[in-house]
Amino acid sequence: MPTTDSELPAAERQRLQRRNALRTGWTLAAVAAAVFVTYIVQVSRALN
Amino acid sequence: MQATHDQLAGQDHSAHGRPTGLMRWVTTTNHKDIGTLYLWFSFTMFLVGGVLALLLRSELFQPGIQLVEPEVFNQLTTMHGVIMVFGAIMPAFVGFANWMIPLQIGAPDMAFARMNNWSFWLLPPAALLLVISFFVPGGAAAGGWTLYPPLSIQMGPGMDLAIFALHILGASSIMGSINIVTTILNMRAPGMTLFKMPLFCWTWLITAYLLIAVMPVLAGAITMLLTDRHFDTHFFNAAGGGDPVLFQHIFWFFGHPEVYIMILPAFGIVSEIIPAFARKPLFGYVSMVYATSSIAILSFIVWAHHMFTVGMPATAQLFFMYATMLIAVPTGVKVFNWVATMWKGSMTFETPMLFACGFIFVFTMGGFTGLILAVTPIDIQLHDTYFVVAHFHYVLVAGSLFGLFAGAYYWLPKWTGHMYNETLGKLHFWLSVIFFNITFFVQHFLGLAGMPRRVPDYALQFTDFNMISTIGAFGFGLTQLVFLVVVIKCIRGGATAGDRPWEGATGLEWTVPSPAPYHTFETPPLVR
Repeated sequence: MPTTDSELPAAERQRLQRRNALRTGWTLAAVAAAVFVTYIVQVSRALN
Repeated sequence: MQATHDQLAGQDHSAHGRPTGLMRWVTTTNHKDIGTLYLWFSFTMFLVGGVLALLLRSELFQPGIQLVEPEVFNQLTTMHGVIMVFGAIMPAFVGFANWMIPLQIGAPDMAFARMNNWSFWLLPPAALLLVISFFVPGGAAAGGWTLYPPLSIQMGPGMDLAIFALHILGASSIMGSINIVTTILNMRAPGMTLFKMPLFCWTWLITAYLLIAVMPVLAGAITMLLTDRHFDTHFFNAAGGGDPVLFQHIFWFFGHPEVYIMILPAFGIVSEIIPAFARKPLFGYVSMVYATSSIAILSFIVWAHHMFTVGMPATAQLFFMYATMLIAVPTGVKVFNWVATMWKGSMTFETPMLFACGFIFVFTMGGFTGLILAVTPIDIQLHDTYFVVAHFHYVLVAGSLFGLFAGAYYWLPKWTGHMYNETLGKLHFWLSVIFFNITFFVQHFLGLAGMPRRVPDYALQFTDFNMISTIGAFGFGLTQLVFLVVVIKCIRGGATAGDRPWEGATGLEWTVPSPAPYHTFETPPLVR
């Protein structure tokens, strides 16, 4: 749910911001970790 | 854009007391403090990298070995590159992001404020590792900033320190990028839709995605390098069945997007400044966003143009050549839009605008030499010559650095509450642009005549151009001290800056007082 909706009450906006921020942050961290692991695994497989 | 600003923004700290002295900076989670830390750190590293560059140019003033042994020269070239890329330019843009993104989208701070503190404080130890690597047995890493094996596998402990430093810097960049994406996606003020965001936020959003995608690739490559060095793996060691060329592919899969990581935020800064000083809205805002995204996407499919000489099928050469040329299209859209914004505008040329115009002119020259290098048969001739050195300094110094200077002059009044000294600012610009061209324009001729890069000695016929280049480099280096004087004078005093010191400037950052209060937008502004 977008937190830029001007109709949202302040408390609800804050709750959504915190929840969405954690989701976004962990998703991006997982992507970065996956890229790191994938590259090493793929290089290892390519060389074997 | 109509916004209301929270009058209570500059809240006091009577409940817990505001941290003071050194602990304020060590423990701060405030985006403005952390932005300031990033900017001072990057300027310090810029001076360190600059001193290394001047040592290189001193050695190259005349043919023959003058000041440093060849192996030390190689250490200087490597560390100059690593420090400027990872220690100066990237942290400087993160500093701008920290300062300006929350102010521009109406957020009270970055999404993960404590991680923001950690992102910054990882940098000084990494910088220390790079600097002390000069003093370990065998000296600093000397294989070039690209760390190509087999050299990087064979070197002494200086290479380990460089690898460790790059790991730390990469982790810091990834954390910073996660913070920026999360802040922009989740913390915008009510009414601030994505397509109402200032271009600087857009370019940083795209840059942050690029960083998250490619920094782990570099981390993977240097981790494999480390295990090759110490744990008997043979990823890149041909003697054990590994493939050194594979490292080049992986490195440049990171390295080419990295080039855009260092230029896209500068595009954003220039896109803020030109409308402000042309007193017209930015021409083609939406096309700017799509052009930036196109450049970012294309950056993933052009990496092998850095390594045409390793040998690859003609079809691969053609693919990478044409894909590289394709990048000229969205870049051309951007340059067209900047010029169209100026067209029939009521332009004035204060220092930020001078640097922005200088950026367009000189960066475009770097873009054209990039197109020349994209042509495979030409690149095979010019590979590893001073033509390449000239090309990427036109893009990274006149591009990224001039963009950073433009942004610094533009937002200094907001940061400090004072106007900078315009005369000194203009002096800084004109000396920079003149000495920059004296340093690097002649390097095109050196490269075309066949002078290789990363060598401390050269044939006699290259002497005159090298002397000119060295004189220019010292002029350029000393000119940057003018910038330091301007900033210090601006912090210590000067004419008081209003909330919106530039009459053509738009955006939420100009609705808060100058200097920006310690806390802003605790109650979100309403953007219509």
